[in-house]
Amino acid sequence: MKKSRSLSLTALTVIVGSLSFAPLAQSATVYFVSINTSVIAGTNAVVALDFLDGGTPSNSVVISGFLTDGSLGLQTPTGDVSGTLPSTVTLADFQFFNELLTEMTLGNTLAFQFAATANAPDFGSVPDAFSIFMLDPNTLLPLFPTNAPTGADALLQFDIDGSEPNAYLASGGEVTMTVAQVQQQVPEPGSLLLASLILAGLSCQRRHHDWAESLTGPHRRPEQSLSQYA
Amino acid sequence: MNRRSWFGLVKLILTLAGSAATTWTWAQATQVDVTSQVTLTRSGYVYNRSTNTFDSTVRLSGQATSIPGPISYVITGIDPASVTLSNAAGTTPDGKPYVKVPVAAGGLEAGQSVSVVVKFANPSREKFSYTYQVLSRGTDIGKYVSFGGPPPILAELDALPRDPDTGLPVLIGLAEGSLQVDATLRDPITAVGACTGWITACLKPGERELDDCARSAPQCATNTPWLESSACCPAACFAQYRTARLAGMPQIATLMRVYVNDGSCFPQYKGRR
Repeated sequence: MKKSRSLSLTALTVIVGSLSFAPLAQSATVYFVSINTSVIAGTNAVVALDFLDGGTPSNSVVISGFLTDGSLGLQTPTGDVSGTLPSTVTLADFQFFNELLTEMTLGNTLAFQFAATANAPDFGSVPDAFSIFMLDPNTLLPLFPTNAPTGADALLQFDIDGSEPNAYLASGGEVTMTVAQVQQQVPEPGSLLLASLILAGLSCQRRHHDWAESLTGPHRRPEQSLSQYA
Repeated sequence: MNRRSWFGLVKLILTLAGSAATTWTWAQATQVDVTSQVTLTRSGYVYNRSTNTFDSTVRLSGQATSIPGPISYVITGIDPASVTLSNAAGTTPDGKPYVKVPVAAGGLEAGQSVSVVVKFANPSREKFSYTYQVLSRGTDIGKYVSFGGPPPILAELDALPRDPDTGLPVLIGLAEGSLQVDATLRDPITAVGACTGWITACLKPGERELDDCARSAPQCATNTPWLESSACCPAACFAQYRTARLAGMPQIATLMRVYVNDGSCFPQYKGRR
């Protein structure tokens, strides 16, 4: 138990420390996307995940946690795409047009989360943009119109320029979509460093003092929760 | 309405009809670069499968001062050149494609925002970038020109047959009656005729455009222009004309709308409604 606790604290120190230095984790905001497709459940569709380059600097989008009660079919990547759904998919922008087309028989819902790097466009560039479409599998045209201002009938557009994602309405109510920012309790970099030092100190101190024996009741709970990282 | 009072308007319409063939090739007013006077935000590209284009929304916000319309978003260069603007409304005199920014007749007010969509054809799906410029038609319409006024119409009237009962010149004679001209009549309608007569007589395509003549017409000094000693136009008329022209309405259509069909800029004239 003592060794376990010590490992837990050390592991957390490493985790917290790595959080403070990993660029993606530090800058990425995670959004949860949920699309209610119950009105058109059973329809064959193609879900398009597009990532278009707007110029320098480079960015990428990671899609994860894909869940649906529909069924997935053939997936067709174009450009700088790695992974397939429902596993993690990464769209990068070494090319202009990057897309994953996924054939589906729609169920009642599909959901996933995405996180993007946050490199704002240089002067002369437009933002790199992630967009989501639902297409007719026969024509690869939008399955239904939306109120997207360009007339492209996107369901969502996320410009990497510091702005929030724009979710659009299906004109006929075919689907409804919610986009929410996933709450992340990421401390400020300064407090991350401080927390790392304190935890590292505690870990070292633990080797010399059997102070844990004096902890009782609710004070032991942190140890229990921390042990999951060991 | 007194039939004889239509003489000025008939003359105007006939004059305009004769010059209509040349009006559409007249040079546009000067374009002013107002890029630095707007805050501009460009969205990322989204693939439009219906048009096979890559679309971006451009949002323009007015800063401290209003910018007169019409306003154009001009694509001054695309790299590589194989990428083209597919929804251009036209090209500038130097061949640059542009889209019109949807602003009200008064232009883009300070603090107001409008959006316009640009669609790029990029068949090879190459990375591309483009440069742009925001142009305004500017604040001035036409230039001042020197014109002495139309010749007296009495000589023309003398050539017309006279009605035996009234002694007035007959412009159109029919079995049911006739359209006669009373050159001495002075009322709000003859004031319209005097003003528009001055403008159309001034018109000399290639030398004095309608914009120039509308701007240069003598300004009325009173609210009873029909009683003034010579032809004049109310200041309100050119103000309306200028606003409509800055909004993009063609010259001849603007003249007809402001000075004839609407006519609200003339005191006591109710227009052709």
